[in-house]
Amino acid sequence: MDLMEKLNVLGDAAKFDASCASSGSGRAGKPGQLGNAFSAGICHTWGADGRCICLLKVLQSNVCIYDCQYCHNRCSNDIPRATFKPEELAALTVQFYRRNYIEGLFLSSGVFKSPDHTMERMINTMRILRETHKFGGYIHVKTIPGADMRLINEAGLLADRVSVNIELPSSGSLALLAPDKKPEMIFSPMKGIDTARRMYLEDGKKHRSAPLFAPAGQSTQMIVGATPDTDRTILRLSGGLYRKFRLKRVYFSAYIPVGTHPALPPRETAAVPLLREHRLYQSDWLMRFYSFSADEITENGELLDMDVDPKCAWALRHPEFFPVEANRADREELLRVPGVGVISADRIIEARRYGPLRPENLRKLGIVMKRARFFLTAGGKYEGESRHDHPYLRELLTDRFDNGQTSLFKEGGAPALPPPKFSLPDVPSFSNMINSINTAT
Amino acid sequence: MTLLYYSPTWEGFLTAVFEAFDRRRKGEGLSIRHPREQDAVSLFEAERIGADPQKAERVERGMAKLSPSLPETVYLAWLSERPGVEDDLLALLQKGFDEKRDPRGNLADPVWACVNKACRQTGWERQRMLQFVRFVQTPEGIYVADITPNSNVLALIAGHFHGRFNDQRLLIRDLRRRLVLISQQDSWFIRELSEDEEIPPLPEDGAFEDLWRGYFHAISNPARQNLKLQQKFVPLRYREHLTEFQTPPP
Repeated sequence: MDLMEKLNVLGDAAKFDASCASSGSGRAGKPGQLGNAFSAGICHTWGADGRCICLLKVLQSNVCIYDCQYCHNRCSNDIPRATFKPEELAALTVQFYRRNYIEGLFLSSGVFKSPDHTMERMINTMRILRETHKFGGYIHVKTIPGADMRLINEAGLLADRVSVNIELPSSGSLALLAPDKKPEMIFSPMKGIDTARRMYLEDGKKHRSAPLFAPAGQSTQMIVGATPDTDRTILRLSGGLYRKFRLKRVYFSAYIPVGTHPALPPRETAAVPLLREHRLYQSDWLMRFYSFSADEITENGELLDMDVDPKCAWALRHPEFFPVEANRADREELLRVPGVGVISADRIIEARRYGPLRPENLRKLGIVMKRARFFLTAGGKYEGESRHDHPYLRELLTDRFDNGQTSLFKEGGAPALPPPKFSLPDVPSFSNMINSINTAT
Repeated sequence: MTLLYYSPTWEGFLTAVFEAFDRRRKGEGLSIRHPREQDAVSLFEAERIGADPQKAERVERGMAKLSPSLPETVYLAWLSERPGVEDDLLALLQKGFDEKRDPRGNLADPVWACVNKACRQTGWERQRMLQFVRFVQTPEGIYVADITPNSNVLALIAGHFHGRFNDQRLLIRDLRRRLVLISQQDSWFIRELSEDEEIPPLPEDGAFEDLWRGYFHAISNPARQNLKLQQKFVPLRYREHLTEFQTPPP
């Protein structure tokens, strides 16, 4: 198999990985050597699915001994298989990097022979990059469930970001669809990575020469819409992961029908739940930057509102909180206003030091008055044509599918199906498991 | 009203600012213009202002006195090359010198809002160039890229590429402004091409371009196809120089 075919097979096999970030690691280039890391990350291009391509995202191999039902690369699936030699993949990464196609490498793999064997091969690739090619660019490595912690530590010292995929949002789903993967195989490396990271950070405070361990942190990914897990379960789980293991990101991946397991949504009818994925990311943002909690976002029920975004939905449920006065409200209050983001909240605070703000000033500051006007007053002036507790306000705020951003989700054709309904095996929930894990501080 | 056409360098612009201040005090109506905006026929008087390092230096020092970071803001806004940005900057500096304080901060003030917008445009264009520069390797082992940015950002991206590809010899050619960035291990500099100098076309790079294009199509997920979203992130005007958009998908 020539390089072109291999790259196509192994790039194609990696396209189900949602995460692609090159941020979080800032490292200057060394004189006479190749590569640096840009801490805000750089996206180099966007594919026809509108997702950014910043790293060469490939699998070391798509040969896999496991048979996880949701996965394209499961051993029972009849697809072409290929494996990169470590030196081959390292050289390819460097050639792409030199032409400014990519920020670095995103290395994942199917499990061939054994988790440890696979992990060793991936470490070998990274070592060739870092030591032979003196490569200073970004590396994101996905650890293999079940690999020895010693190998994961070794990977963390070579990579910028390390991730462990949680795959499915509940232990019941995992037991049903990926019987080979046990929750301990996911949570114990997560804990191990967090502990190692903090240990090396402590060392770094004492000696300047202390090595960095996964300086861009760890992340995870889960599939949404393959199982009946609700949005509340998913958001509570991600809240727990952010708190407990200090994850940098939790990625959601709308389930693309690839399997035929009786428990999975049927292949022909299921549309990819892109809008749901979008609403989950919106909620994720609210949790990370707007100090919302998972329970606040889902206080209304198990599933998120698909018609309005989660921030609008919260605002509609809490008319007592509004309207907020732009000239007096503190940052926390401003952040609760639909149409006001982190940047515009800071701009309001900066601008009002120079004099009172009026509604026309707000528009100039970049506040989305289309939504904000119902929830905001400026100098006592209210610009919404209906009151903030008006019964029809919800309709006015509903995302229209014929224009604006959400039309971007329509292209899939049929509306996304609700999550499948079937009962899951009765096992302790992920959230309980995470909370019982003891992470020393 | 008099139109002042400055010599199109940073120094030239600051000299024009100095001149404008001097004459405004005498009550003259003035507008600073980039020489490329010069029309053959105009209702207004036109005048060419050469660059004077001493006057430029005085303006720069004056700005720095209002705030040490103000010269950089003015520089970034000026690089945006937005039509009329020169007059906005003049108004901003006028305000700053009149009130004897940093004229930035209040985004509700239309002058600062305009200048801030220009700064953001430059910043965006710089970011886009960090993303979308694509090098081609020549047989001599030099990496060459062509760009046509809306703002004059070549000097702003030089440090990034110099630091990142420190073991490579690089050329980045701004075709619109006829500027070339030349970078190698110990230093980088920017050269302006004279009018009769020809810019040779980029050579073929061969195998790696094909590999990259193949990968680009393999990695996108057909079940999630969303061309509108793609175009939002990669506007059509950048695709001319992007390797992966050069040939139709196989």
